[in-house]
Amino acid sequence: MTTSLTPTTRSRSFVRHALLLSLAVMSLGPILWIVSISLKTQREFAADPFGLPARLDLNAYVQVLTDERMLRFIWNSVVVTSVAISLVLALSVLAGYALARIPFRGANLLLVLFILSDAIPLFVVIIPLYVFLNQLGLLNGVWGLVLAYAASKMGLAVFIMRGFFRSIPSEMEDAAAIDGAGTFRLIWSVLLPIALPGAIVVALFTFVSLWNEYFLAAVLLPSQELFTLPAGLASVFMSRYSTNWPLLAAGLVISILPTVLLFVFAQRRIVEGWTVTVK
Amino acid sequence: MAGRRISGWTAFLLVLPAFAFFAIFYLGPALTGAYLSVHEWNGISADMEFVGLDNFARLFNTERFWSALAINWIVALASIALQIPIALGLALALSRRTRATSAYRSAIFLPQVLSIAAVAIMWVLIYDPYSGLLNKLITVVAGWFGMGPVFMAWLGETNTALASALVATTWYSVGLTTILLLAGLGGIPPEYDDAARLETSSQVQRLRYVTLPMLREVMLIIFVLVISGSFGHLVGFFLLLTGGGPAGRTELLGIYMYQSGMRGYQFGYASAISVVLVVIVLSVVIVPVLRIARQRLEY
Repeated sequence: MTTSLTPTTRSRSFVRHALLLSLAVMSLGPILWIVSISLKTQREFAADPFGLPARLDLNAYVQVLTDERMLRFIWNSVVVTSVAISLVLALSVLAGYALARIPFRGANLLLVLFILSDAIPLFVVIIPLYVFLNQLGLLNGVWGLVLAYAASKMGLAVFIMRGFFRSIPSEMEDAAAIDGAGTFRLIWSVLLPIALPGAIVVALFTFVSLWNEYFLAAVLLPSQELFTLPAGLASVFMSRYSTNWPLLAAGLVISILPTVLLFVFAQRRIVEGWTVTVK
Repeated sequence: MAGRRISGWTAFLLVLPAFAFFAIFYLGPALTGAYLSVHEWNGISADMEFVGLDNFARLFNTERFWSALAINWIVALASIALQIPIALGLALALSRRTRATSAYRSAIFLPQVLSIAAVAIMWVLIYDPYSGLLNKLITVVAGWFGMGPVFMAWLGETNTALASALVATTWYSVGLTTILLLAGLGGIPPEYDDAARLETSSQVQRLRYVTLPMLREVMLIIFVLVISGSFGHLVGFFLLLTGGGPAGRTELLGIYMYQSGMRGYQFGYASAISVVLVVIVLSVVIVPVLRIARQRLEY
């Protein structure tokens, strides 16, 4: 388009940038404030909660990362999310392939149910879910939460994988089928490599959403020993650290670091997972 | 057709494990909830008493239920009213990809990758009466006019709590709404806009007659996400932010359910609330979900 810099367009673009800049500052400001708190000593924070820290004091981070409880929260998060992601990936590849390629009765209904499950948050049934999992004996450890997590992301994952398999031309499968490859070999050795971009999108959005999940974890985990990072941070925030802001802030920064880093390096793919239902 | 040699049975077996998750973790609790809602049960004792629709009758005669329902709808509708204009403005301003707009996009999307727990704790600190960022900023501005420091308990006062909570949720959610609108704008063929440019030079007219009608589908999805989110994931957020207080001013239906069940040990009553929640969310999402599914089935 024409970009003639008449005075009006130039001032309009200035106003536009000023507005965008102030929104960006509003968006990032609170996060940067928390980071600045985490780098202060408690005394420095008490004297001035707002200025930049005089020097970078990493003591709060050292304290958090040597706190046995915090380390346990981090470890629990790693275990819970990685098991749930593995389940989601493995099963959504199989189901996505079948729904994309094989015409069978009931396929449409299944697709509707998968999309529906993504649109309904598990929170609305949290009380019956708790009772139900308790009856099944799944609330003594982390399994109840892990399986509920996998279920909550399964619908969207199947939907994404189905879309990916549909976007791949079927010649390669035909060739493999002529070679006499079985269905499972077909999926693992021929299709999976091609569908890898789809699997990465699924893995990323599942990771971001499960690493961050708080409420299900707080309700479905039987003891604080087993809490994931968000649930642990919240419970600690309610009690111990709430008077020590630098420590709390350091815990917050550590908890958000993995997803923020992932976002910095894989923004496009994460966004792809978010927008898949509208494209 | 690739799948010719694969039978329907194989397909069924491939879908089954994924579907089992849906069946067990969505249908299971839904049926459990329906069953519990017509019983009275404290969660511990072995016997459950069948009470018919008593729980629902009690629920509909409880003012706290209607208050939570009203607040929940206020949150849902206010979220839409706050997010759509901001996100639409952002999406239109950021739709062209330049180095500057990419940076702005990242800044505005970023809160969306944070955990709800972290965001809630962060905003509790921001709204803190003594050391919070907000009061400090206001104090600085007030100082210019010769006024003294401000120690407002934003989340603790009955007349500011809900609005303050809404600011926090908007800060967190507007990025996703912007992303969805940007995706929708990306789906508008440039020829439409070029054609419209020949017809009228008014940006407002183009927005009204070209852009907005093309975004209708995306808007629908945003409405659904925001509404189901207000009845769903915002519960955890509000629970940490305010716990439903002060005086129930920020109590969402889910908080009332959670308190009745996990704190009050009235599992039948809490399940009745759960049934109401499922009915609300289902009736909001069902039409758009069927629409998306139909579109996808076509190709």
